[in-house]
Parts: sequence; structure tokens; C-alpha cells
Amino acid sequence: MIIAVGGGKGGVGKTFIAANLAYGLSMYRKVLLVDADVENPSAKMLFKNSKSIWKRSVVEFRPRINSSRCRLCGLCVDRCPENALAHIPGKGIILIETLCSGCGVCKLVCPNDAIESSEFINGWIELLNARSSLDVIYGELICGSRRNNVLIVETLHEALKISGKYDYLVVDLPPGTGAGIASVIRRSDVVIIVTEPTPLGLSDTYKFLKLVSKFRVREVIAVINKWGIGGVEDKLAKFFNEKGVRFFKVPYSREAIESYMYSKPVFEIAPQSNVASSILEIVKYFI
Amino acid sequence: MELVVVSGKGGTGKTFIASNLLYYLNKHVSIPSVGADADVEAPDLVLALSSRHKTEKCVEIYESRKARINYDKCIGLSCLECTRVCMFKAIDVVGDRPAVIEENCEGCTACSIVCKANAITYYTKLTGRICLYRIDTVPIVSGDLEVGERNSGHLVYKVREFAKDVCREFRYKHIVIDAAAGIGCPVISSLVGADKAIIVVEPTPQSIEGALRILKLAKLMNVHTYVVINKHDLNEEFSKKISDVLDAEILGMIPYDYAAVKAYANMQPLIAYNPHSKASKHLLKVLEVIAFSVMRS
Repeated sequence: MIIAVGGGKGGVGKTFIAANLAYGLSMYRKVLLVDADVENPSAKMLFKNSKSIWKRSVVEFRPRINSSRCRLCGLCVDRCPENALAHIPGKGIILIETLCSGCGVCKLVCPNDAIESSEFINGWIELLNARSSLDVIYGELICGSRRNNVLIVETLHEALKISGKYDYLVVDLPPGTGAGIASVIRRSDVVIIVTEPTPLGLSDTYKFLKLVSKFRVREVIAVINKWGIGGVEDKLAKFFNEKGVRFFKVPYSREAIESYMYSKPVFEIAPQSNVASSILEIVKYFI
Repeated sequence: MELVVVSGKGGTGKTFIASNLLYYLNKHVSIPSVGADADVEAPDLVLALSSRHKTEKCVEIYESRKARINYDKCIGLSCLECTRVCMFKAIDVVGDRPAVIEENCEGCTACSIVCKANAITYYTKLTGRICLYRIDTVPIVSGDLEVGERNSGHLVYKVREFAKDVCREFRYKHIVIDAAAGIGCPVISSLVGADKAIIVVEPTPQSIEGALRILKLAKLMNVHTYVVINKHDLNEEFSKKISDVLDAEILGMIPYDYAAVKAYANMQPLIAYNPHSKASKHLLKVLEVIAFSVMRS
């Protein structure tokens, strides 16, 4: 089963819920936690004694122009969808690296076979063993790369390759409602919307739910995190009730802040707390 | 000038700082400034400023090109050249034929170049909207990316252009950009060519790690960057550590205060909602430094 944990807004507790849910599920079954927040992967920080199983770089195609073969016909420049190639008189065809998406159209259209394959490192993917029945896989974008959506898709793809070994995949999504997130939701069985009871949380929930409704996921559930903090608790609850979305409340509490602050799973730092039992309730829902 | 508010990690208080700074500049010290919401996947700046706003103008941006397969022409499993050539995993085999995964498609045309049956065409769809709102007298230009879209960087570029137009037309001095979380495409578009940046960081390991990432990016892009520590008293020990690990000038610290949450719930900037709260007092000092030191130099 693939469970995607998302929500439009940053800082609502997606990683907190995803990592603790994965930990909770791993007390009963085999779980892979997939950190798809490639711009700021932090789920692994909750599991400090993790051991690396493998790590590899993710590369994209970049063209290299073989000037001895190039006849300056300009077809690659005309057909490049990102305007990343330019013909500079006296210098030949040059690549503007930051614009290139690596689509390979230039190589396909070149009549003289003058475009060779080069590589751009877009980031890394690492698989870790966190505890006996919990592994973590995460993607990490290289600083300066614009290709975050592509790396999300690559990270999911790597996770799906080994998904047969696990009962649950819990995917921690980045904040937002963009293409990479959409791609994960398309492949998910269940989507968990994490939100907080503030007007901003409410607004971002509308947008996230609009994204989720584009796909046929089996079930959408919500977690209202920091329950008791923001003043629009009832409004959010009413909204989810009207939409027929089952929701769980996770209270705003000292234990939750401490778990976050010291990057420790709630089941380790405060197993008897209200927060731990509220997350256990979500775990039990899936088991 | 263009000042960008960033953070590697979400939820540290970018919109909190940006909304209060805009209110401060326009209302407290009469430095007319435009807000630009560049968090196009989850735009919230308008909501943080007021529950009442006037929409002055909206434009729709149609720039997303996507592939479409004509199944009357497609020869199906015997070919599948399109799936082999696509670099973006945007064409999957579903049943006995290739299917476009719309959100992965970048409209690059590679598939149509290799298609033997001439079965692939392209269509253009809505990338997003950009609206000019006015809250009281403060203009806010806000980008809103269509759900599931890419091209967020391009939309951010357009938001900034729009804000610059508003600046010129109405003789505003500054633009405050509320960026998205992270270090990816929309954030790069928010930073490129901007004058200054402010990282909002909280004393948590995740936030500090995110701040290090965004600082590295800002340096790579030659944008001079400052730091504001939000909710510093949640963990004094970590707050002290921030100045050791972040190689940037720290402008000030703001304590955790429930009044900030209440201000959000009331959809008002904290310095307007509760100017005498503990956090307001510290925040006002930080805003003063930003307005009269950072934005002057």
C-alpha cells in the first residue's frame, strides 16, 4: 500500500506525521519511508542511527557539441524547447546550462550526429536502514538545480522498484501542489492531507484537495495537526465532514514540539503521550 | 529594490515576516512597497495581511505545452518509440498502448520527433494566474500555479515582472518577495537578480539544515543574505548555535508568542493586530533594521 503524506502549506507537520506514522506502522509490518521532499529532505533526521544500504547520484542528459562534426545548421537551436542553445557567430553553438532540461531533442534532430551525451548530476538518492522493519529512501537535490520535480519522480521510481519487499510505502511530500507531487499522488492508494487549524492552513488545504481530486486515489484522509492552536478548528472539521473526508486530530503539545525539536520519534521520546496515542490511532486505522 | 524572504524549510515564518514587513513599510514608515507572493504552489501572503482584499486585475498564463496521442494513428505495442525517447517518464504503457502522464510531460517534442505514425500533437494549457490585489492601499501581486503544473519558475519570473510594472506605474520604491520553501526551481527564480535576501530560521535541526542549503544557493547566485531567527526561545541553545553555523549577518530574534498565532487566525499582521505583544516589540526592531539598514544599503 502506498500512502502519500502531503498538504499545501509548509511547516504543518507533514514530515512529523509521515515519519511517526512510518515508525508506528513498522511496529507491526515492514515499511519503507520515502522522503520525496528533495529540496529539504529531513525525515531521515529522526533516525540518527540509520545505516546506509546504497547511495547513488541521479544524472540527467546534457548535450555536448562536437564542433568538428557540427555544420552550424542551427536546427538544434530552433528546436530546443527551453531556448538553451544559441548560435554565437565565431563561437559556434553554445549551451546555456541553467536553461537546459535534458530533453534530448537537440540530439534527435541533429542531422550530422554532432551532439554527444554528457551528464548533469541533479542530486542523490540513498536507501537507509533505520530500524528492524523500517527503511528510509530519500532524494536530495543538488544546490542550484531547478529540476526538483524530476528528482521527485526519480525518487518515487526507485522506491517502487523495491516496493515488493514492504507492506507499506509512506511518502513524505514536499509542501506545495506542483507536478512532482501530482506524480506521486497518481501512484498512491491513500493520500493523507496534513493541515493546521489556521486560515492559511485552510486555504492551502482547499488547493491540495483540488489537486488530489484530479486522481483516482482509493481514499483521502486528513490529519489536523496542532489541534487547539489556531482558531479555525471547527471550520476545518466542518469542511472535511462536508467533503466526506475522515480526519484525525493530533493535539498541539509539548511532547510534539520536543519530538520535532530533538528529531526523535514520538514513540521513543514520549510513548505514553497524547500525541503518541493520536498517531497510534492512525496506525491502527491502516493495520 | 527587490528583497526576497526565503527559508530552506517550510513553516518557519516567511509569510509572517513578509506580511509584517509590508505593513510596516507602507503604514508605519511610509515607504511605499509592493508585495509579491512567489510561493505559487501555496500562495498565502494576501491571507496573512487581511480577510478583505480588492482584486484589481488578473491575467491567465497559458504556457504549458503537453503531448497528446492520437490513438487512431498510434500503432501501439509494436512501436513504443515515444516511451523510449522520453527523458521525463512522461509516457507509460497502459494496457496495450502508450499514455501520456500529463504532470510529467514537459512538452519538449522528443516523442513526436520519433513517432513513426505521426500520432503525437501538442496542446497548450493553463499554467497559472497572476492577480493584483489591493489591501487598503498595499498592492500585492500574487501568483497561483495550476494544481499539478510545472513551470513554477517561469510563473515566479512573471510575478516579479508584474510587480515591477506596478512599482513603475504607481511609483512604489520596493518589492518584498515572499518565496516558496526549498531550494528548487521557484526559489531560484525568486532569487535570480534580486538585491537582498532574508532567511527566516527557527532553532530546530531541520530548519537550520534548510537555512544552510538556502544560504549556499543565495551565495551561488550572488545575492547578499541576512538571517532572522524566529521563535528563538523555543530552544536557546540552538539559537546560539545558528550564528556559528550560518555565515550571514543576523538581524535579530523574535520570541515565540501565542499572539502571532492569534494574529494569523484573525488574518492580520501581528504588528497591526497586537502591537504591544512581546513578539511585536522584537519584530518591530527587526523590521526597522530591515527598512533602514538592509533596504538602504
